[in-house]
Amino acid sequence: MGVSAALYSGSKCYFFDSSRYVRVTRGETGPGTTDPAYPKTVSREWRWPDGFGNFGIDAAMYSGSKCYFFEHTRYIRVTRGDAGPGRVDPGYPKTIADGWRWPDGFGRFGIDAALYSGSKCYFFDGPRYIRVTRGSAEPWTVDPGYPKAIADGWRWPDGFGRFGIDAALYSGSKCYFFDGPRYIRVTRGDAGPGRVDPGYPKPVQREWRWPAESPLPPDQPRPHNRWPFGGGHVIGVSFKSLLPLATTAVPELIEMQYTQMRRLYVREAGVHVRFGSVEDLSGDPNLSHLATLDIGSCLPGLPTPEQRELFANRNNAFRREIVVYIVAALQGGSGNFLGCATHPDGQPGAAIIPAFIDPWLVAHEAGHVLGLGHDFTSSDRLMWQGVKTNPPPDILPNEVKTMQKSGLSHPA
Amino acid sequence: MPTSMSELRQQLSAIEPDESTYEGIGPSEVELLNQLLDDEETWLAARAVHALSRIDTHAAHEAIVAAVADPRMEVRISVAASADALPPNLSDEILSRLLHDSRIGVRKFAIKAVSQRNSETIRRGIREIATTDPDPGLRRIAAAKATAV
Repeated sequence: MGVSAALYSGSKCYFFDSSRYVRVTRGETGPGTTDPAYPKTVSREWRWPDGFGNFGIDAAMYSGSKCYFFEHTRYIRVTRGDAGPGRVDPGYPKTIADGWRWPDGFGRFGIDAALYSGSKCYFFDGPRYIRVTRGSAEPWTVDPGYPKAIADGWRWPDGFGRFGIDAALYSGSKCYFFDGPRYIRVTRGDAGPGRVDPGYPKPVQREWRWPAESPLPPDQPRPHNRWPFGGGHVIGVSFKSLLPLATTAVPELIEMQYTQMRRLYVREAGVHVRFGSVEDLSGDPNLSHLATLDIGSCLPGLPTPEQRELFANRNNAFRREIVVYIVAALQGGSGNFLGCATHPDGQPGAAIIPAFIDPWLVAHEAGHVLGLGHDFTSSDRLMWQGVKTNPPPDILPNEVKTMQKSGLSHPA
Repeated sequence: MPTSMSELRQQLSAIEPDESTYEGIGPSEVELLNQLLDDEETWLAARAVHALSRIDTHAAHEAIVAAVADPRMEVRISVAASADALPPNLSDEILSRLLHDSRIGVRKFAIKAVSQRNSETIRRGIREIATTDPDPGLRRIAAAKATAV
């Protein structure tokens, strides 16, 4: 699957996969050598405050004598050398909103990756990124014209990173970018897209050769991390809207829901969510009556005739891909629903309404499709039965196991 | 039993509601549910309609009838879908308006709510929709319902 964060650190670099990390000794290029006794557990070795990073981190960035680590909407600044945990600066964690003050809602729900680049640095949030001119202490200055679309600014090949990246790594004259199970190496200076080196993208796991088995200590607090480091699983998700894409907020909804799902799944469950496609079904007169969907009891294995009719529309979706249908209303025997994951056999999917109240609605419904049931005990959890989960939602160890065993996910 | 608006909102805030979502909600919550009908969260207002439809009091019925005129389609869909749980005369009153709603979704759930309990006028309306509604899917649903009732 890949990694959720990478950190340049002089003669060392660090890669994070959920709640584990490895330290690697390397030069500008090549995989280098993983230091002995890695992977190790983030919480045990870094000892960040307030539970920061216990479930993994989203991004890390070198910045001279300081390093920054990002987890959901919080971040910490750490004073450290090439190796060792260093010391978290006083007053951290802070919220991204308070500390960085990025424009246009950028980073509102966190970021995916951060890249040191000399006098500049870059932050990535879903399909968008910003370039920032570095100063002494954050907030630095966002360069004019940003945010921009990754697809426009970086022009990576083969659709790489079009919907977001998981990690970025500065490495002298080279930079590395990670998108699920693939990565690219780029030759560049402080600014500009540079040039993707020939032969890339390449598969992460094969090239980096991190230790497959983790010698986790007995007191490992997150026993679900049993997949090979940097391995994990991949699932696919596509969106089909019965509301017109051109005249509604559905495109923003899709971007928000996909980005949050992707970030959460990779950070906490080692699952890379590959973006499939988006299709506007609103112009099909034969489907217009399904824009308000009768979902009956919304129980697993009991799709209504209307769900059968709608879910048969799987243009461009792979057999095991989860298709999310966006409709105006979901009405069942127990009232109106925000989402429903009941689907016909062999047509995995879910339906949601365009409610912006919960950024993890698709992640929740996809969790059902992958075999997860509701949680009735804590609103901290993704599968909490109610809306307004305490962010960031947690995925339990047994749930990770179920997700990775689902017939819809496959090893990276 | 929820005793405050915040408790009621929390109880009704299931992503996928079931019977337990409405447990303990009764006549004493009608006033709060009535307030929820104006909530800016459309899905919550629609859910308040369903909760009201489970309460067999005059005040609850009045609130549902008033919601027929709600400008939000989702709320009117919830009213239409609740019609089969209401007394026949009330169901007729609601359906006579919502069967001719401007939105396909509302008309669809109004059609689905019609049963043999409803008046001949309402059932005749279904037969008309089966031949005249501009939406082909809806005509199909109405035709099936006309046969059933």
